[in-house]
This record gives sequence, structure tokens and C-alpha cells, in this order.
Amino acid sequence: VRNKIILSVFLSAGASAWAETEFFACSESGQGPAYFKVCVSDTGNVTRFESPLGQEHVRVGNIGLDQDDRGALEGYMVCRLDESGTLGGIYDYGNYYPDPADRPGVWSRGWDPPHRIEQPNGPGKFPLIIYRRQVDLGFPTQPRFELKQAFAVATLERELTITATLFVRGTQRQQDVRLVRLVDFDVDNTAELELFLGGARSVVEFDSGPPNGEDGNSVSLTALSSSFPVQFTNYDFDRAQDLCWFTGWKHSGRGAGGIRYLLGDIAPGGQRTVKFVYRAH
Amino acid sequence: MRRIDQISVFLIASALATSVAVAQEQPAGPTVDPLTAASYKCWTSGSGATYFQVCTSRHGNIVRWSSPAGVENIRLGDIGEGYVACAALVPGGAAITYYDAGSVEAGWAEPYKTTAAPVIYRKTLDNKLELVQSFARDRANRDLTIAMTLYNRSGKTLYDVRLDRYADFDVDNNVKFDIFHKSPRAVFGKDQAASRNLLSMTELTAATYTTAIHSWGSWQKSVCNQPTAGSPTEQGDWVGRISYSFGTMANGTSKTVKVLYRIQ
Repeated sequence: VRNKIILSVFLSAGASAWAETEFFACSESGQGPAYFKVCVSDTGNVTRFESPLGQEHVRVGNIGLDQDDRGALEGYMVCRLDESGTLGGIYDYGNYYPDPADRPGVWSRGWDPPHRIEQPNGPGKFPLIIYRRQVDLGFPTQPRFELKQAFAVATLERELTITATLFVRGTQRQQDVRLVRLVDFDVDNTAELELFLGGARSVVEFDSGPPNGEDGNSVSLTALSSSFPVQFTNYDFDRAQDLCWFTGWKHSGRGAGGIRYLLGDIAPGGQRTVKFVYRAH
Repeated sequence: MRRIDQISVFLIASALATSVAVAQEQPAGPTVDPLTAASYKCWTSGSGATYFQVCTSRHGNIVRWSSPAGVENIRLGDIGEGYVACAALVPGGAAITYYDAGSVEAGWAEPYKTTAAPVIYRKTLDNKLELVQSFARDRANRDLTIAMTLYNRSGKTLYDVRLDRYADFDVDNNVKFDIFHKSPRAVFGKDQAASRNLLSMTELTAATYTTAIHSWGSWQKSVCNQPTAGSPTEQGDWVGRISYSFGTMANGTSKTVKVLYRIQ
């Protein structure tokens, strides 16, 4: 199409020379109660989720003051069963701030910078397609995952759909592969007063109400694909690296929600595609 | 056609208004199938865990919401999903009300036109208002969006015009054990016993509206903008509502809003 620009960015794999862009693509729409703004970084993390105007639900946190509740904790994790029978994974939960000195790699581990980015409608706009590969550690039995994430916004429904395709590169069959999406919703600008509801496919979170007693807003993360088993959890932030297996659930308080697709074994050259949806209700 | 005269409806509404405001349950009897609840249009997709069937009546009520297979979430006891419109003839005047809650209605004429989509065109018996409802099902999201356009056909200005959409979710095959939550833009219903489905109704477009929850026993079907109970509720039988305020509407003007029903 003439007016549609296919923009492919092939970025350097040199992580040391690369700095991620927190608001790489943004969408802003609606007014009043229907206002909806969502942003995604060039690493494929949701960095803003605002609706209605002035009510932010992801990029909230006392940066530098509260190490357990940083801003914009949202991201993904890929796990597999390794040779020792342990579920281990690589993840990126939005590494916009330095890792705590006592917990290196706590927010991001194992991914190269994106090697390709597509924005058919032009820079800064959705849809946004991001490709990332697992860091090559140089030994032949290492898994070599590649993740393609396509982000699309539906403004009327106030939703962001993420279509994630996981490729198994290299020569090794990967066992018990899992793909996780994690979000620390801090509904209505605050990490406090959260209530959690679990549906058949969703984690819904409410703010239980500001001091004036009015209802808080609600947001959700939904597993849209039915081709694979799905597990849900919510948990305290320090369990973020355990999302390959952790299945705890709590009904209120502070915490984050996760959805985990169980993709099974994947042969070399194989791939699996699943969808997640974020919604502001 | 089942129609109840307006005087009777107001008596019923008054009785409901004075009923106990706690989570009184509707009788858990067999599913009713009134003429007004007969399915006009059904959408069916999936199987097993992904099964999804939603049906509307020829009046535009949702009369079936089944998902997953074997689990019904609306068509239990008295079907309670629908709409109520209200308007005053003079500023500050008493509201005339027109409603259709699925198994009971008053003030609306039969649809004068219905398309296959469906789009349902309906006027009030006194020809003051017209309501056009269109339905769009999203198979993957397991949701149904209802666009409602309300016209002033009265020949004069109407005041304090309102339109509400309400639903008695009976989640997971029973009328009991539901817990409702509401936010400023949505109402959620979940069955605490089966703890499987989570249903929601969400406002998508409007600027001026409120959300509300009522116990089934205190639900006033013929009243617009009924005050809400607290959220979250205790276990019980509850009704969710989205109430729109359109204010003053000149003759011939219209307002359109969209409500989205979804299984989360």
C-alpha cells in the first residue's frame, strides 16, 4: 500500500552500545472515560497503560525508594526444561532502571537487543513487531530461542493485543517450553489497595478505591489462545523469576499477575504462536 | 406477545423498591422461556472449553450466554437482561419509563423492523422514543458488543433523557454464590462456588454514565439510574447496570452508546 511504510530496523547486536527506548510506540485515543494511552518499548515491554486520562496502571512506582515496586514492571519469560531437569528461563520484565546491586539480572536476562523491528504505519505507531534472539553463549547444546512479538491496539475496546511467536532455532529439541507474560498492575496510580479476580482466561485487577470511597478502575491480562493449556498466578514481586512454575494466588494486596502458556516440546525449526490481551475496563 | 400494562408494572416496581436490599435470590426453579425471551439470533462457536453461544431475543435482550460447554450464565431462573429508557416532558418533570428486562417489559411496541445482523428497530408505544440496537459478536474474544441509539421522536424537546442496560448474570449454572465487583466503567460477576467464569459488562464510548450493582430482590427494572449497592458484594444473586445520562434532547436528535459483554 502506497501510504504504508514498511520500516525495518536492523539494530546492532552490541548490547554495550545499545540503549532501549522506553516509549518506542504509543497510541493515544478517546476522551474522558474513554481516554486510552498505551506505549511499548523497543524491547517489547508495555511501558504505559493509562485510562481514563490521568489514571496510570503500569508505569507506577517509587523508583529509587522502593526496590520492590519499580515503574513499569511488565514483560515476558521463555522457559524450558534443561538437561538437569530444571525449569529455567530467559526474561525481560522492563529493565529501564539499574538492577539492584545485590540482585544482578533481576529484571532482564538472556535476551539480545532486538535485531529487527517493523512498524508498517510508520515510526512511533502501532502495529509494532519486534524480533529478539536469545544470547548466544557459544556452546552447542544451548537453546536458541527467537521471539517475535506483534503489538496491535484496539482503541474502542481499550485493549492491546500481543501475538507472540516463539521459534526454536539451533539443533536441539526443547522440552516443556513455556511462555509467560507478567504485569505488575498498579491500578489508578498506586501500588496499594489492589484486588485480584481470576477468570477462565484472565487476571483482573481492581483498585479497591481511593480515600474518597469511590470505585477504582479495573484492568486485565487475558490469554486469548485456546490451543495450549494456560496457568494463572499472582504473586509478590520477588517471585518474578519463578514464573516458570509458581502457581500461587492471593486475592488482595500488592503483587503482580502472570499468565503462562504450556507449549510442550518443540522440535528444531518449530514454532508456537499465542496471544495475550491487555484491557482497561 | 407478552405485555404487562404500565400500571401493573409500576406496582411491581414499587414493591421491588421496598424489598429487602440485601442479596435476595430469585427462585432457583426451571429455566423460563417466555415469548419475549425466545431466541431470535444465536452465535455459536468452539467446543469444550472454548464453546461460546450467545443468543438475543427479537426484542434485543440477551437470553443465552453459554460458555464453556454445559455452563450457562444468563438463562437461569427469570431471564434478566435488557434496557430501560426514561424521559421527562418538562424540565424537572416526572420521568416516563419504558423497559424490557427479558422476561418482563412495558412501554415498548413490537419491533417494526429487524435485520438479519441483527439490527432491531423499536419504538415506544406512545411514539416518543425509538431505540435501535445492533449486535456484533467477536468469536475469539468471546464477547458481544451492543450499540444502542436512542432517538427523540416525540415532536418536542425531551428532558433528563436516560438509557440503562442491565444484566442479571447467573454465573456458572446457578443463581447463587455470585460476587459482583464494579469499577467506574464496568461491572464484573463471578461465581464464588464454581469459581470458573468471570463475566463483565463494559461501557465503551460515552462521556456521562455510571455503573451500579443491585441485589436481585431490590432490582428496579422500570427505573433509570437506580442507586448502587456497595462493591464488592457478598455472595448472592446480583444484577449489574450501566446508566447513561443524555440530558436534554431536541426532537429528532439521537445518542449512541456501546456496551460490551464478555467472558473474561
